[in-house]
Amino acid sequence: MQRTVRSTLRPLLAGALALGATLIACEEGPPPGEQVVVPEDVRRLPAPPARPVCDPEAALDPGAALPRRLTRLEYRNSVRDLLGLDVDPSIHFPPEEQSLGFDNNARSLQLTPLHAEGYLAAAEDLAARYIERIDSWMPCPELDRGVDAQAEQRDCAARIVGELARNAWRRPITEAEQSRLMALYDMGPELEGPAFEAGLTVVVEALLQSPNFLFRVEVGQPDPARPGMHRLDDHEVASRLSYLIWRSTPDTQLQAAADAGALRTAEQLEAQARRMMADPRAREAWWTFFAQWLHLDELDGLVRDPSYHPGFGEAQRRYMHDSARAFVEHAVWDAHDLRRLFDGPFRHPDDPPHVGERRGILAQPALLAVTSTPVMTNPVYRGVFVREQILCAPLAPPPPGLAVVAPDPDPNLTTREQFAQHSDDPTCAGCHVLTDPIGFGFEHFDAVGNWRVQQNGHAVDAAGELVSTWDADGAFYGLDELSAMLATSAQVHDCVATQLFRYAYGRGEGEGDACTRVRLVERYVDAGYDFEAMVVALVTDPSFGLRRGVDE
Amino acid sequence: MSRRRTVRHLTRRTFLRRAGQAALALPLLQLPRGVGAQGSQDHPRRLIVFYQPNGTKKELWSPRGGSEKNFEMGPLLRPLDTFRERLVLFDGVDLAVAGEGPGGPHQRGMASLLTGEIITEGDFVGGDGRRAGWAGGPSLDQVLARELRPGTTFDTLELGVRCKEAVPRGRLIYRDREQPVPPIDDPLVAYERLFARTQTPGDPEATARLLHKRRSVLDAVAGDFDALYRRVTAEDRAKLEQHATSLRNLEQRLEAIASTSACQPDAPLDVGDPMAEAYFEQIAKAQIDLMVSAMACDLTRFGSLQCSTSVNALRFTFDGLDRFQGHSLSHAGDGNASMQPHWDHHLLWYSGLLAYLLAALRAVPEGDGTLLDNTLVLAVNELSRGNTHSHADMPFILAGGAGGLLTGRHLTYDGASHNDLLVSVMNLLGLETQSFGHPDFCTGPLTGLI
Repeated sequence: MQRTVRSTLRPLLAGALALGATLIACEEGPPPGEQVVVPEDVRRLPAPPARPVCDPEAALDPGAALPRRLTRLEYRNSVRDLLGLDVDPSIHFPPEEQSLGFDNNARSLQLTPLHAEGYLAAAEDLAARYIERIDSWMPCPELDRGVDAQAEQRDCAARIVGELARNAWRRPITEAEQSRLMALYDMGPELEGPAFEAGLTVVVEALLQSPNFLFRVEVGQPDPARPGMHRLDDHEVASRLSYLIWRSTPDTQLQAAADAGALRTAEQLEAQARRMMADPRAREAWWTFFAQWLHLDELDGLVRDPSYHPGFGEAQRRYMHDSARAFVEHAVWDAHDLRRLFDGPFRHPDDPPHVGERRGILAQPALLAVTSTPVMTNPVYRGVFVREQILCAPLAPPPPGLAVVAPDPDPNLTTREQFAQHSDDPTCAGCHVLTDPIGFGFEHFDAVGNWRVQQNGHAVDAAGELVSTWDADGAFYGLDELSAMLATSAQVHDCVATQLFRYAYGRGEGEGDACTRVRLVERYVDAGYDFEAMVVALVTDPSFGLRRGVDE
Repeated sequence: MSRRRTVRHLTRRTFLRRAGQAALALPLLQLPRGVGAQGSQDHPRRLIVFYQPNGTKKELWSPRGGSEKNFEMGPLLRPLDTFRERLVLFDGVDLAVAGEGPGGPHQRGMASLLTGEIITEGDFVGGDGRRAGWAGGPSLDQVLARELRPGTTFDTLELGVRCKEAVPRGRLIYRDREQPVPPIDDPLVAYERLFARTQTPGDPEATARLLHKRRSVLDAVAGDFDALYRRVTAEDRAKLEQHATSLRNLEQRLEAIASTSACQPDAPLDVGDPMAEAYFEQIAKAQIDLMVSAMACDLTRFGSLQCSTSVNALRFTFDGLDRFQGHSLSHAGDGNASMQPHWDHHLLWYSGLLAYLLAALRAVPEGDGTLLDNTLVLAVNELSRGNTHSHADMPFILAGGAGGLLTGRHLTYDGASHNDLLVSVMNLLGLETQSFGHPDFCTGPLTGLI
């Protein structure tokens, strides 16, 4: 492959291409103990990831729909909206196992004995607090709560139980379920305290530990028009919407729409989605998507070594968080244009006047910090971040037996010079040509996101290059130029859709999802790169209310 | 979560902080005695897995010279010198099964290490066109608990030190295929779970009422599964069964959960954020103390101590080393004169921590001997070498005693599969089996251990 590169990159690429051995480093190697065999023709970069291709003739394949356990956030939001209790149950529950960078992957979410213990403790605690406040929500305020009015109390309890169960389980409940719950209520006299309250407390405990609450189970009914597929029932669709847009339980309006069968047409779904997107809960919930996708959640507990970054502490971390969040939310909710996420301007208050504005999320101190180590920047981390998170172009693991070596620090060199030395090794450069030249483009920003023109007495060089992309290959200098290239790249915006898809469906994309992904991008681009339009496209897509059929 | 709980928690922390200052000077003093009876040969047999990340340097690890019994410890294992006669050091055992499947070498190593299975295809980007998932089967500790059913309060105990990443390269223990078990990283949380459970102290009637209520609730919840099972696919059902199984497990422990443990060690120190680099050593030692106490009290017989995760971003600031993270050090070139001494320092520190575990076990009397006599420690690492990502010639160690293991030896194999070592461990703990994990990588127990 003929490549034109700027002189600053020539040593790296030349090193990579000089030896036939080089690019084998990016492919699966031989088993341990065997020599790396060098094929003749390896003087090529790996191809960029495949574009999704939608075959309009192909049958719809909506994919499986594994039961999804509520995450800690979803649990917290759900009990807040159900019981009016805003508490953090996360100290009871282990953290979510993550896949593809998101914490809501159905296959990875576990329910271990430790979780079960946590759910028991949380349910008892929440139930007690909810019932303590019974007078604030009692539907039968005139009720005689004395010992002689047990029949009236039971009637009232039945109402409460029916409504609570319906809300907690996000669907109408069966008679068998109602009587099972009332049997628990009837334990009241055997327990401590007034029987009415004690009985209701037990019911709440059971509701919150039930799989009907803790899991979103999507089954639906066979769709006569689509063999092999199930159409989700209206309440399952309502939950899909609410946990997607709010990461919480459906509200009264959504439930009413489900009851009325009014969540079926694209118009109905779009109207609900737009209503929900306008609710403050949406902003809170979508922040978790952006924070996880862009690794901004890693700011929690971020450490900078005081000998290298004196004074870094909670105030700076807070500033980084707020600045990044405001920037992301401006692109999503105000500009309605996600190109601004990559190239929108902002000013950092500590930048010297000549720096002017910074551009894009990559120049946000939060992002610059989470892609660094406690002591210095790491161009490899930053390059990997752009390839995997922004371009959806994952890197191959290093081949077995190949030495993969970190740079030798030298206080007299810039970070770039330190890494370039090691990239001279052709076995490393084979892969690192994909990442390091991207990371070098960040070098005007240190590990806490501060601007610098010199490092260790040497001028910073932020020349970089993107290779092996669909449409953004080319040399650049510094983050402004890189961000401008990314903002207009079809691969980047396709990647946004891919990330949204993974988050929304709680699974990795498969071949059967190509048409959905293509449609998401089309609607989003047509709407001027409006994120909300992509969300609407997702919930009105033909696959949204479907799942692969039950195989029995 | 609740105010009540938070207050209780804070109070406990405050209390522990004060109490801890006294405990600091006298570690292990209050460890309970082991449950095994004096004069009896029939003590519980226990397993503790000890994990350290990112490989080692076998040329400085392996024993030198001599023979199987007559050898000098490698420089990296010097901190274990005093336990030389209680160790079996392995050369020539490969983690061959980790050579298969999608994902990177750290992911594959972690997923295969205690399961002997190939990592599954899943949702993790492996970069080679395939996506890595989780381990393809249960880890041996879980199988041992399930098969041997010792009837302890906890089937197994997973304790970690700064296991921050909830991803395959950060998980070691699996209940089953694709069912990772997160370790508890906070000693105070672990202590509370193990030893300070009671909610109705000194009131047997209240305890009985609480138990009755909890049983009824769990029974009702169990009823919810039947209706769900009838509607879903087999794949969906497996996911829901995890919940049902965990609830059954909980139901069996309700009584223990509602009562105080009669066997009580000192509470751990509250050092602060357990995820902070600065407290890594203190947290690690606190977790070891808790693990040993839990074993002594017979609360569990199968435990794991996971010291951070593979590819960790951990500096040994507690040891004055602030510049390099462990994973970066493991990647230093062999001739890198500025980084290799730091990496050696990390590796020596882990040897010292393993020695601390063995010392803690030895400090607990049990029967006519100590807990170490009846506990098998299996020390593992997901790589043999960091800067090559090799899975050949793994740095495995067995320590302590159980099932007649002959210690004080250096055993050299010629490319044995580590699945065979796992089979041997299971045999030593009393589970008769000829195979574990992926059958293509297992030929039966290793020869020469007993």
